[in-house]
Amino acid sequence: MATRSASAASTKAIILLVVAGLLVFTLPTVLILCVGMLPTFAAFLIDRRREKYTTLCVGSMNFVGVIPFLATLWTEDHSFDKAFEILGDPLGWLMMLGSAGIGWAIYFVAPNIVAMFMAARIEQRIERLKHRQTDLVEEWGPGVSGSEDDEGNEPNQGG
Amino acid sequence: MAKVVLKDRFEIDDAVPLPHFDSPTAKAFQCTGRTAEYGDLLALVCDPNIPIRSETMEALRGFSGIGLLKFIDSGVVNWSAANRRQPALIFDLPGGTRVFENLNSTIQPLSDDQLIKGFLTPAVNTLRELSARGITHRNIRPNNLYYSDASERLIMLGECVSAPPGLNQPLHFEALEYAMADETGRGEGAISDDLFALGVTLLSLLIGRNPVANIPDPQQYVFDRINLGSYANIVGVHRIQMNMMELLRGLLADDTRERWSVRDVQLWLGGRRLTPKQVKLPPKAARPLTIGGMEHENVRSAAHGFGRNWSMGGDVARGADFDNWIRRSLNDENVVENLNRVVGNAQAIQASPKADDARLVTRVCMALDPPAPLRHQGFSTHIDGIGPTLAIGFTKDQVRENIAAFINGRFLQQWMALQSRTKSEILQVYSVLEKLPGLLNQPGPGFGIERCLYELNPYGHCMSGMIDHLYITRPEELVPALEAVAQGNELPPIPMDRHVAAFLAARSEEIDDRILRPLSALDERPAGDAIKVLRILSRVQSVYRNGAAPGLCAWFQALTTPAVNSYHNLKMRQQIETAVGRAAETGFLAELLKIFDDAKAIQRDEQGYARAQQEHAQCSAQMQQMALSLENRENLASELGEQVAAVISGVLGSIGATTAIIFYMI
Repeated sequence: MATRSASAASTKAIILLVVAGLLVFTLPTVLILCVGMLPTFAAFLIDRRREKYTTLCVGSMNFVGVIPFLATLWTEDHSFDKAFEILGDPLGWLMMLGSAGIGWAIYFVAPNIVAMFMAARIEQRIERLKHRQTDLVEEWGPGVSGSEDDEGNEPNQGG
Repeated sequence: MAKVVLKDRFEIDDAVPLPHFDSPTAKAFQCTGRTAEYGDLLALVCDPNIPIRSETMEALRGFSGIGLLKFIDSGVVNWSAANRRQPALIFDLPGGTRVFENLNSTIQPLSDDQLIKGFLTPAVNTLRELSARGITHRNIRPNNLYYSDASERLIMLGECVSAPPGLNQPLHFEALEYAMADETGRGEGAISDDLFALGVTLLSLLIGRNPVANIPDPQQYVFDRINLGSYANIVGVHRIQMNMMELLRGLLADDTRERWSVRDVQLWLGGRRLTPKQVKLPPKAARPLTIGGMEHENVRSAAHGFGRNWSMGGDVARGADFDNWIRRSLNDENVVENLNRVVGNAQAIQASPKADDARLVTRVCMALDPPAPLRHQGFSTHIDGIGPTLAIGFTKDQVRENIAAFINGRFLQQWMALQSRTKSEILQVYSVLEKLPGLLNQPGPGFGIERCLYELNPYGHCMSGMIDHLYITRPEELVPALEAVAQGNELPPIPMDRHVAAFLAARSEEIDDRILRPLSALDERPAGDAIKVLRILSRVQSVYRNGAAPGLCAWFQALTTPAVNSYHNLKMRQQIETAVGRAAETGFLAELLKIFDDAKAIQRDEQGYARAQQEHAQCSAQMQQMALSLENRENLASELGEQVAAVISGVLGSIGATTAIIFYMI
C-alpha cells in the first residue's frame, strides 16, 4: 500500500513538472487562452452543477473562437508582442466573446426545445392513456372508474 | 253458465243445483257421465277450505253396497261461480229423497220391520264392508240418509268424504270420546263410533225426529253424558220398545268394550235376544274434585274439566287436594299409575313450575282419561284430528300457536304409552308427529308450522296465497300452477313462499330439506333469492316432466335481471341477456339455471373487472403525474436540456476547432 501511494504521488509530481515546464515555454499561448477564455471561467464560476454542463457548453464554443488566434500565434510568431497584438484587435475580442455568446445561446435555447419535445411526447402518452380508459369504460361500464353514480352497472343491487 | 267437465268423463251442470243433496260443506249439482256406463249422477262441489277424505275415497272405489251413496270419482274442477278451482265428488244420484230434510224435520216413525229391513240391515252390512276396507263413515246422522228409490223402502247412508270425519256431526251423534273433541279434531275413529252414530240415527228413525232437539249448553251436555251416560242423555224420556232398547243400549254404550260390534248387531238381526244390560256409569269418587267452580265426581269428568279450564288447571293439579282426591277418593290404581308414568309422583307435580302449567294440564288429562282427545291450551283433538284442525284453522293465529305449542310439547310418546289399543293408521300419524318438532322449529321456508300443515294433511291442497285458488294437491301440479299465475296480470314478488316450499318438502320425494335449506340463508348476491328458487323449481319441472313453462321462465327472466346486470363486462352482459332471453323462450327453467350456474364465467368477469379497475386507476395516476409534469414545463427538461446543450456545443466546438486547425495547417 505504501509503495502504491508513493508511486501515485510521484506521478502527480512528474505531471505537474511537465505542465509547469510547458506553461513556462508557452506563455503567449497561455496569455491568449487566459484572456480569451474569460467567459468560460465566468461560466465555470456560476455553474452550480457537478457535471458543469454550462461550462462545457460555453467553453466548447468559446474555445472555437480562441483557436484561430492561437493558430495565428503558433504559425506567425509565438511571442508576447504578437499575443498583445492579437488581444489589441477588437475583431479578436468579437470572435472570442461572440463564440462564447453562441455557447450561451445554445445553453439557453436547447432546454426549451427539449422541453417542448418532451411535453409533446407526454401529451401523446396522456392521449393514449385516456383512450385506454375509454376502452375500459366501454368494455366494463362506468363502474370501472370507481364512480359512485354507476347505478345500472354495480353488481350489488336488487336481488 | 256452462257445463264443467271433470276428467273428460263427467259433465257438471252448474246451472242445475240440487239443494236437496247438499252437504254442510259441499253444494250439489246435476252431473252426467259422458259414457253410457254411468246413470244419473250427482256432483258435490266442495268447500276448498275444508279438507276432503282422499284416503277414504280411494278405499271406497268399487264399493257396490246398496246401503251407501255410491261414490264414483273425484277431481278438481274450474268453478267459475267462485272464480277458482274446487274439488268435486261424483256420486250416483239417489232415486229417492233425503229422509230427514234437516235435523229439525219430523217424519212418520218407521216400523220395526221398515227399520230392520230397510235401514239397519243394509247399514250394518255397509259398516262391515267399510271396516273390511279399513275405513269409517263418521257422518251417519238422520239428515245424511237417502231413500234409494221412490218406493222409500230402502234407506242408504249419505256421503262421508266431503269433510273431515265427524266435522258435521251434532254432538249427540258422536261417541263420548269424540264429542269431547273439537269438531275439527274428531279423527277417523273406529267402526264402533259409527255404530254409536247408527244407534242415535236408528233412534231418530224410530221416533221420527231428532232425539235431542236442543242443546243449549254443549259443554254442560258433554258433562251430563259423562256423568249420566250417553244412553240416558240421548234416549232420555223417549218411549222405546223393549226389543229396540236392547239394541240401543248396546249401540249407545259409552264404554267401547261394552258397545255392540257389527257382529253383535248382526246376531241381533238374526234373532238373538238378550236381557237389556243396565248402562254402566263411570265409578264415582268418594267426594268431588272442584275445578273452575265445577264439581267432578269421576275421572273422565275431571279430565274434561281440566281440559276446559286449563289456565287454572295447573294450580288445581299442584294442590294437595288433587293428590288426595286421586289417591283416596277415587281409589283407582290405574289412574295413579298413569299419573306416575306421564307426570310423576305428587312431589313432582307439586314442584312443576307455573310456566309449565299448560303442559302439566295436558299430561294430567292424558293420564286421567287416556282414550279421550288430547287437550292442550283449550283445544281438544284426537291424534289424527290435528291435521284437519290445523288445515281448517290455519288462518287463525290462535290455532297455529296452539298446535305449535302442542307439537313442541312432545306428548305423543307418553300418550302412546297409555293407549291400550292403537290402530295402524294412528301409528302412521304418530310417526309423522314424532318428526314435527324438528321441522317446526326451523325458521326458513320449507319448515315451521306450514311444513307441519302439509305433513299432517298428506292430501291437502297447497294454501299459498299465489296458488290457493288453483287447488293443487300434488307436487307435479306446482309448475303448471305457477305458469298459470305467471300468465296473469299481477305477479307476486317471487314464485315461492313458505307454503310452496313446505308443500314441496312434504309432498315431493325429490325435494328434500337439503335442497330447501339454502332458502333460509341470507344471500347478498344480486337476484340470489330468485336463483335459489329457480334452482328448486327447475328441479321440480324436470323431475315431474312438466313440459315448457314460458310464462314462468319470463317471470324468472325479469327476476334475474339484477344478476344479468351484475356482469361487469358489457359485452358479456349483452351475451348473457341474449342467452337468458333465448332460454326463457324455451320454457325450461333448467336452461335458465345453466346460465346463472356458470360460476367460471362469473369468476372470470369478477377477475377481469378487478384488473380493469386497477388498470383504470393506474392510467389515472399516470395521467395525473404527467399533467403535473406539464404544469412544470420549465423544469421538465432542465437537466436533459443542459445535457443536450452541452452535447450540441461540444459537437459544434469539435467541428469548429478541427476546421480552424485544418484551415491554418493548409
